[in-house]
Order: sequence, then C-alpha cells, then structure tokens
Amino acid sequence: MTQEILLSDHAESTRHNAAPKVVVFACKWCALIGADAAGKNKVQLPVNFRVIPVECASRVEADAVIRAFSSGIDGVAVMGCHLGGCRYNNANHRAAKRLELLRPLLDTVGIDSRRLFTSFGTAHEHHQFADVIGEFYRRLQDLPPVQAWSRSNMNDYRRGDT
Amino acid sequence: MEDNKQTRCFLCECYGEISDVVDLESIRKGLEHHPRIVSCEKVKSLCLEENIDELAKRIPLSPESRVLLGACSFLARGDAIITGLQKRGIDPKHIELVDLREGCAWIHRDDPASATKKAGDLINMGIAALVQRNYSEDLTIEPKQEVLVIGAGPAGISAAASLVKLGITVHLLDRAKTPGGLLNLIKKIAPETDGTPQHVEAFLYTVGNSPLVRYYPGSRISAVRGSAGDFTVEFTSGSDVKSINVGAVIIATGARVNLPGSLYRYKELKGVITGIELERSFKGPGMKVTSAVFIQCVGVRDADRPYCSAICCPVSLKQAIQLLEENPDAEVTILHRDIMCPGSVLEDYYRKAMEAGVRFVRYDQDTPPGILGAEQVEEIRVYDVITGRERRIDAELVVLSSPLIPHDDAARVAELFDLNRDIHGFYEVRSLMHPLETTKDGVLVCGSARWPVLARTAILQGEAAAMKAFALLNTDQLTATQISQFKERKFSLALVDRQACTGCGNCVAICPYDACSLEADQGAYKSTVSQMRCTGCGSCVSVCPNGSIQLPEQNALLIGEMLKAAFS
Repeated sequence: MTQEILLSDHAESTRHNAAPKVVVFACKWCALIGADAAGKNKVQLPVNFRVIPVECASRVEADAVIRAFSSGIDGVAVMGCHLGGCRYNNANHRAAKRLELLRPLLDTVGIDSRRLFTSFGTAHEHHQFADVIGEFYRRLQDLPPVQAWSRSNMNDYRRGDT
Repeated sequence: MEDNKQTRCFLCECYGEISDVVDLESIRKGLEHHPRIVSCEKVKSLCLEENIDELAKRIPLSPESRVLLGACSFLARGDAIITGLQKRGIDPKHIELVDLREGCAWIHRDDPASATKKAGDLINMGIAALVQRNYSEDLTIEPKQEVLVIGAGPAGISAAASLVKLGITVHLLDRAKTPGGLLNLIKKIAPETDGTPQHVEAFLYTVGNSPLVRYYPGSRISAVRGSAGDFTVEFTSGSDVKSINVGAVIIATGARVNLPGSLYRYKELKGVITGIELERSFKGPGMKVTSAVFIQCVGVRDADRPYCSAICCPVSLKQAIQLLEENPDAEVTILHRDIMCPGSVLEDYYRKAMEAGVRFVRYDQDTPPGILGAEQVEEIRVYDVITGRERRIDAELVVLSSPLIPHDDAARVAELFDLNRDIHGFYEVRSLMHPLETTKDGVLVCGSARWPVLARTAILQGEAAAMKAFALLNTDQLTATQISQFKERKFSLALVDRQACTGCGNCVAICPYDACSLEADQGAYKSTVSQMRCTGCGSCVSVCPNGSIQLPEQNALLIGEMLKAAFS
C-alpha cells in the first residue's frame, strides 16, 4: 500500500458521510448465515454495505483491510464465529488478535481505527446481524471524515508515543 | 490482462421477488456491453428443474466457459441450482452465484434505486471473482480398509466390535496383557447397580472370535507415518517388531487413577486407602467395616488440577452403597465439595445412596478434613459448611476419591500422532460438531483418553468413533476434500509460490492444523503445505509477509478486485 493511493482515493470517500460505504468480510459459518437469515426475514438494512464471504475470519489479512480503505471504503467489518467456536481450530482467535494489532497502524496513517469493526459470534442470528450493521453505521456516521495521510499525522503519533 | 474466458450471465427474477425491487432490465442492458460478458438474460425462475435443463443447454461445456448467476443465496436455492448444473456436466468451480434476493432485494425493499445500484455492484464483484479465481487441485488416494484401535478398554473394545460388524479389519493394540482396561480392576460398573464388568464380555466375545480382529497385547507404538486414509504404524508386541498399514486410527488409551501422594496421610496411616484399592478388596474377600468415610475431590478441583474428573462421585456412591450392602449397620459418610451427578440415571443413583443411609457432609476447599489417629485411622474432623460447625466422625476406613488423569505416555502418543492436548493433558478434539476428531485428520479419540467418562459413555463413544472411521473409509477413492470435514464445493487448499517464499515460517507457526512445514530446497527453506491436512481456512495467507502463500479460490488479487468493484 503506497501513500499515493491512500491520499488520492480518500478525498472522494469523505463526502458521503451520511451513507458510509461498508464492506463486510463475513465468515461463511457464522456471519454469512446471519446475513442470509436477515434476508430471509426481510429485515430492512442500510443499503451501502457489501458482503464478501470468506472461509474464516482468519483469511482477512491486514492488507485486505488497508486495501479496502484505500479503495475509498469508509468502514470495514470483519465478522467471525464466537471465540472458541471456530470451525478451524481457533483460527478466529488469532485473527481477532491480529486485527487488534492493526488498529494502531490504521490510526497512524490517519484512518480512525473505529472504522474497523470486528464481531466474533455476535452476528449469527438475523436480528443480531441487523443490530451489528446498524451499530457500525451509527458509529461511522458520527466519526469525522477520513483525514488523508499526512506527515503531521505521523508526527502527532510519534509525539504521543514518546 | 487478456484471457478467453467467456462469461454467461443469468439473472433470476424469482417471480418478482427480485425484479420488483431491483431493476433487472437496466442491469441486463448495462452488462450487454461489458467486455467480460458474452450474453446476459433474465429468467423467470432459475431453480425449477426444467429451467435448469434449459440453462444447461445454453452453457457450452468448454473449459473457458464461466457462468454468473444472479439469484438467491447459496443457503436458499443457490446450492440446488449449482448442484443441478453440476449434474448436467457443468463444473461448479466455474459458476459464481451472486446473492440478489437475500443479500439485496429482500433487505432493501424501501429503496429500489439504491438496491439496483447495489445489485449492479454485486454482479461486478461476481465478475471480478470469476476472472481472478484460480483452482486448487484435489488429491485422491485409495484408503486402506483397516483401522487401528489403540487400547482394549471398554471404549476400544466397543469400537473394535462395531467395526468388525461392518466388515473392517481391526488391529487392536493394548499395553496390558489382558483386555478390559480399568474394568479389570473393578467389581461393579457405576451407575448400573447390577452391572458387572462381565457385561463387556459380549463385546469381548465378538472381538475374540472374529477373524477380522488382530489383537496385540503388551504392545508399544514406536513410529507413525502418513496421513488419513494411509497411516503406517510401527510397534513392538512382546519381542516382535511389527508394521501395519491402516486408514484410520482410534485412540482409546483411557486414563489412569491419580494417587494421592501424601494427601490425607495416605500411606502413613493404616485404613487410608484409595477407591481403586477398595475395589480390589471388593473383588477379593469383600470389605466389612463398621464406619467408613469417603473424601471427594482429592487432589482435583484445585489450582493445580482445576477440572472435575466427573466419575469419582458416581464411583463413591457405588462403593458406599456396596459397603452398606455388606454391612447394613455400617456408618458411611461422604465428605464432598459438591456431588456431581447430572442426568436422570446418576441423580437416581444419588437418591438411592441417600435412601440406603449414606450421609453427606459438605466441606470447604479452604478447610479440608483432618485425619486423626496414631497408626490406624480413628476419627475425622471436618468443618461442615452447611451447619457451620466442626464435626467429628468415627472412621475405621477412609477412602480417598482420586481423579482420573492422562496416562503417562499420553504425551508420547500425542507426539507420535501429532495431536494437540488440552491444558490438563487430555487429547484435544475439534469444535462442537466434531467431538471425536482430534486435531489430525483420520485420528479419532474416544473414552477416557478424551475426557474422564463412565464405562457406559466410553462404550457409546467407542461405537461413535467406529462409525466415524467407517464413514471415512467406506469409499474406493478418498479426496483431500472428503478427509477434512468440510465437504464444500468452494473448498480450497493453500498453495505456496516457492519462488517467492522466503522461508520465514510464519505460516508454520499460525497453521491451526500443522499443515504448513518448512523443507530445505536448494540451500534455502521453503514452506510446503500438506494437502491432506489443509482445511483452507486462510490463516497462513494473513500472516505471509509477501503474499507467497495463497488460497487459489480466494487470492489477494481477487479480494482486491472485489473491493474495487464493491462501489463502482
């Protein structure tokens, strides 16, 4: 991920704060079932989210999240099974840890880490999925627009660190 | 990037369920000029058999042909559509299903304009996925129609007996000289009041008289190679060294009774014995005492061993009832922290003990009972939590109820078979839906090796493990996809780009199934993935520093293109 991409694409995405663009990486054993059930029950959801099914939440690498932000997406949600209930021998537990490690990195480059939403086992039922999506939407709407990455962000971060 | 993939797009109206919300006609018009799309048409309903027939006729059976279906979700009718097309000769790997009903039309009925835009984006994401998708190869082997059962206790014997009935050759190994395991040490089985270890003899008869059973007493495993469907196991039986070839392994090695050490003056005072020693005297001359005290949770449910061994309460109830049967005037007391007897049978058993006259006193972990006496046990002092007073109980006999712990060689067996163990040392099993599968495919665990259980449950688990082994082997051709429990069409196996791999070993550290390993290749280390073990979770992908390991079906490029198309 280069600095140019982050700079160029974010300017556009910040304009649509009322309807933030969200990508949901949904574990097919849990959140995808929740999303499907939401459809079956015809729960009305905000329109601007796209679901990308993944085998396991652990498939979602830091790069995919950063790539999503750099292609102008306002929020990334990673939804997996509850911790301890992973189909893949607790792979989601490690994914949860990895995604937490990603947060300071996002903050450093000027993307509020609250734009990365993780849910483990909280989106399996249709109403849960709807609640989680709604919660994330409200959070994104309240957040200030994404600041393009700049040297001063970096300096702020460094000062805060020392 | 130029390729000659020809994508045909079919949009399902679902009798208006989709087309009432999403303007499919405008989507279809938009797709007509899409460089990737050869043709695009609307269908009233895709999932009807005759429509699938019609659909299959229009899709050429060439390897370049791709199909994009805009219909309902995979969990609704999508699966049926893909299966229908597969039956008619179309490779399901070349079909991409875009969920326009559950994922779009039904959840955005209030906003048709935005829903149409979303549907367009979803279809673009589907096209991106079709273009970027690569395919994993599947590995096929012929499974060996033989099973190795380690341990001839109740679990192992019932597993062997079930497999023999199904016509599978069983190699039954045991460390001891006689079969039966812990049952050899006891007189009655809890909670069956009339049950005796002879009940297992029906199984023993099947096992002993079947030409399909090879029984090796006094054996010890020395080496294990291979993977599910084809294991080679070397072991010594007596003085012989043997090597066998099996398709699946059932571990039924059981557990052993933990000795109390110096707790409660065990070995120091006469009359302080363990439950298993009491069983020995029941089997022999019998035990006639006037007063006996059982102490539960000896060396368990504490900081060092924080689990409940689950069998000690029913066992103590059984022994207490038995003492009362031998001498109805005896005073029998059970000092417990909690009586753990769940379920209707065990709860009945608890009630039966109370009716028989067994007294129960609850003590606290912080104030354990004290044993008084010079050479022989004379008296027990215990702080009764319920009354809040110290009680003195005369006792001629003190029985320490010790937990089951893993066998001493459990660690060795785990290392040989590459299994994970939990913090207590019992073999770890997979999640909820796979309760007998260890962390290695083709290796099942049952009975007390898995977790301390009563004989009844051990037999049940042995039979279940036999069925699981049979289900795995009951085929001429076994593919890697079948071996792991995820029989999914979109199954993928991680693939390493050996040119790019730097051999850092991140994937080896993260892999939940030990499928990744490093191997020396021209002076450098390169990662390699065992196709038989990989379940396609993608953990390795997310830790690879340069993307040299990928899931072909869901590679980084594909995710990137899908993200770009998501709001195009």
